[in-house]
Amino acid sequence: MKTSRDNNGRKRLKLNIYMRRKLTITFGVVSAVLFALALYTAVLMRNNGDEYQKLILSQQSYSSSTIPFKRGNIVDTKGTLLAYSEEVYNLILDPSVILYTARAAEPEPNRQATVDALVACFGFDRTDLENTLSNNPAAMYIRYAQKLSAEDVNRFTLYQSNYNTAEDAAGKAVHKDKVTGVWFETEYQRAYPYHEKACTVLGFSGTDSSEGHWGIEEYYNEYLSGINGKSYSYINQDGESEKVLQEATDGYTVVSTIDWFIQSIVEEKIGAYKAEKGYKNIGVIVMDPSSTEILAMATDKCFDPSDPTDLSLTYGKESLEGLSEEELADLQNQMWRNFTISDVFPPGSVAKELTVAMALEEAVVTPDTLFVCDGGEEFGDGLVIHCHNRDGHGILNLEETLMNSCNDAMMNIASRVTAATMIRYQRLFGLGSRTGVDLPGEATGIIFDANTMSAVDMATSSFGQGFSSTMIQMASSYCSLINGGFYYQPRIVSRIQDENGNTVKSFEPELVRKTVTEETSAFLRTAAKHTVDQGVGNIDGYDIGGKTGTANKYPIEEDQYVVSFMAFVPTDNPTLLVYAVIDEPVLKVSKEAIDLEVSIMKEILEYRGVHKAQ
Amino acid sequence: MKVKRLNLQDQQEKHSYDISLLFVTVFLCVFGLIMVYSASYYTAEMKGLGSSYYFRRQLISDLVGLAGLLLLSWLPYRLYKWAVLPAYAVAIVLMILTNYTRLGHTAGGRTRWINLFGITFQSAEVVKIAVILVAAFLIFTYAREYRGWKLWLTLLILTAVPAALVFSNDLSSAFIILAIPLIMIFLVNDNRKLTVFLIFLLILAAVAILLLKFMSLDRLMKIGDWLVEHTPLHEYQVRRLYVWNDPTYDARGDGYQVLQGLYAIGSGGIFGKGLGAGTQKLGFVPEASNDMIFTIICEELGLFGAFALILLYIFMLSRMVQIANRADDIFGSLIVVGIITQIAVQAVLHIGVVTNVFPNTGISLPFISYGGTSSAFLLAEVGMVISVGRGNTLRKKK
Repeated sequence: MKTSRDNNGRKRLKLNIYMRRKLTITFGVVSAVLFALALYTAVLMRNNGDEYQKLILSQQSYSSSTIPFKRGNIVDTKGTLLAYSEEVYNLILDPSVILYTARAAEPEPNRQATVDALVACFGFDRTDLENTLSNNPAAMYIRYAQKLSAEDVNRFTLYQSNYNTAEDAAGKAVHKDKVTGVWFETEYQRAYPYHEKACTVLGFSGTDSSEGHWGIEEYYNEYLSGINGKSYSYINQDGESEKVLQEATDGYTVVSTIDWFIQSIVEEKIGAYKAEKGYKNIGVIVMDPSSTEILAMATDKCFDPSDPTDLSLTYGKESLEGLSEEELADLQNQMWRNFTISDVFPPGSVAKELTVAMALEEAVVTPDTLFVCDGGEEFGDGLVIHCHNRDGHGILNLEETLMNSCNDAMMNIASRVTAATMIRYQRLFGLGSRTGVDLPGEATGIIFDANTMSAVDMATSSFGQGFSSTMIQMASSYCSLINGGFYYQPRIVSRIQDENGNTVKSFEPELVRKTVTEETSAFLRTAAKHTVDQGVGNIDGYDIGGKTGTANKYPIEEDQYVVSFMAFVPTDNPTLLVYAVIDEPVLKVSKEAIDLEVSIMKEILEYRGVHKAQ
Repeated sequence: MKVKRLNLQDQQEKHSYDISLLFVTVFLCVFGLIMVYSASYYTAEMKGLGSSYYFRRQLISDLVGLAGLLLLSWLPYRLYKWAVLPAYAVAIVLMILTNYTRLGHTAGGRTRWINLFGITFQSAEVVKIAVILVAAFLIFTYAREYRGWKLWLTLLILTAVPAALVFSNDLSSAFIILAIPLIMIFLVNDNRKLTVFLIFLLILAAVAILLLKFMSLDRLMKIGDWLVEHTPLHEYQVRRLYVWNDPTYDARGDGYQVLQGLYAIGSGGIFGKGLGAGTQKLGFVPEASNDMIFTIICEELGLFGAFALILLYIFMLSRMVQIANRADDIFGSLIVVGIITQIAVQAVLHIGVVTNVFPNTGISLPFISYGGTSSAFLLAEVGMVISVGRGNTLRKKK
């Protein structure tokens, strides 16, 4: 080794030439390695730059979050809230904040206070909470609890702000630690304050508030749904993280034509019938004939829209045991479907009004035309179609044919027109096509083809057999017969409102076509009044008109019936129509439907305070 | 006399305060502060600490380090001899306290810090400087009497003890601690066989790295399975090798940090996105302000920034090499060599790790990365280098 002398003359060790050379070479190698790494960086940029830039951009959008919209309300015609969405909160833990340690001397200073607060406000299990934190120390988003009420959340935020800002008399903070790293995410939950009431009309909306199923929830989904908002952060020019909040657009309020009180009456009466009698389906529609607005609509099937898969309300718990998945799914669909618009059946004698209206309009009869009923009509090959009175009604005028519901007379009328005329009128009265009622799942019904319609088909059609229709079709066309011939599209929603109650869109009664003249209408109203005056479905002191119906269901051999009663009040200028249908009643008489209808009509009249006729 | 005068001139030139070294060090620190702010303000803001939290802390460490630099550069380095034994003892005690007592402080699952009298610092940094002093002093004192194996072995054993204590929590620091005596032995030994052997070891390591790096993942995983079964290596350690081999392996888990870092580097381009304009630090690259800061430099300042930084390092190291070569005695030379080793290995490993040339192990970029202890100690070490550069003898003013 090279040596030199220091001040004291002692030899000192120094780096010799070889060592220096090695050091220089080592330095050269290190420099080369550093350069090689820099070059490798350049290669990375050249080969993958574009791809990585894209990947980075695609990651960025990740950091935005969605603010859910609030689904609109459904209210009845008087503003009663039938369905709304309430805010619920999800509790999010951010362990990376809760467990943050700024100074090693105080590890995780805020952990204790935060856990205490959570346990105190929500009653969480402390051990579970501690474990969740300890097992995910770096996590930033843990959805720890769901569907908390605003009350719970307020209790916590109050606790938090009191704890974090508490000061003693001297103005010094009481607590050194903080409750932190907990935040809440808003979510909406659909609520139906009257539970199963009006379920058929309302339908339901599930966990996804942009979806509606059945009823108004489905048909008016586009109005009830809003637009999700967004929140995202970006870094502004000053290098601060700036949050951009794009508020959610909440859904509109849908105002139904349903009158909650009438709806309740209807459901209560159906409930009473259900409790006592046997049947397959019950449907009731209450309408305002002057506009064909639906005031109430109900079936015997009910479910709670907040828990739409629960079958027990309709079928009872016992009968569900041991059923297969498929059977349960089938029952579910049965329960959700709306009998009043989705099921078709032969309307029976109610259709006689249509036959008479056609005859008057075509002038093949006059109110004075006389008919002879001998109890039936023969159609060759020994086929005789009987009147329900096999002995015959004898001589009847046109009004009396309706009052007695004479099949023979109807067949006589049918023989006076061509098949084409008959079908033309059926179509005019809205049979064989959807009414366009603003509810999902409407059925069309089946009517004959004019080209293939036989005399027998015409004969049966005249008294409401052989073709099929829905309740809503019959009710709507009946409304036009008694309101002076104005066929309006039936409606269950009158307008759409924004959150401030301003009308966004309103649905005025839409005149589809004129069906009959005022004279024909007046004749039918009078006939209906006289029918009731005989004692069929009359309510003492009220001016009521009506028509019963009893139809054989196909196949005839099964001997099942659909009984119905259509009634309206008052007869000079009808404002209320109640149509009650009982499908396959155990007691196969139209009295079943009449009694149900009367019980409903009576309470509605009392509720409405309609004055008794003088 | 001619010769003597030349010598005097030589003396004048080589023993001076190395202003350029001081300048490049301060420059690197200022650059580091800017990059730390850019890389950390988002995270700091998100944690509710205020955007300049990490910047301010780093500034304080740098100022403390700068004070240390000035003090140490002013002290004649022969006084450091008195610090050798205490430094070594303190380092061992600190490591024991950190590892085995409650004074040890854990962050990110690693017990690397010790908390003494309210100050938290990384014990391994003390070990590094202690090992440099011990190795330099031993060689300086005993090289004449005990040349060869005895000395080298003593040296390695004295280093291995603290290295073993560091190893469990800080693999990369342990690696640096071991590299210090090895480089010194490489430089001062005059046994050609030993030199060749050390070079051979280095080449062997380089070849092994290349082999593993370019091996197919399938084969590497087979080797990994074998390692887990037959060696004390854990599954999670072996998985780092898989990620190293193919960063898309487990892109959401183990590979996440490496992959996000590569995205940042790759997207930088020649001049980068502009200072502060990078987006990968916004919660995507973990440890953006310390173990991954080079990725942010590449993203924001591009290839230009990366090359400039590397040139600065090379310049700094070249100044130090000159000082080592001209030092008055081998004690001074070796102190500088130790410090060169530490800075060079840290820089190479950091850049190598973030570019996925080496397997992932957390290591900071000297003078740049956020980290109080590391910054302060490195600055102080530069002070020691400058002190060596000033010479051991007090010059008489004429």
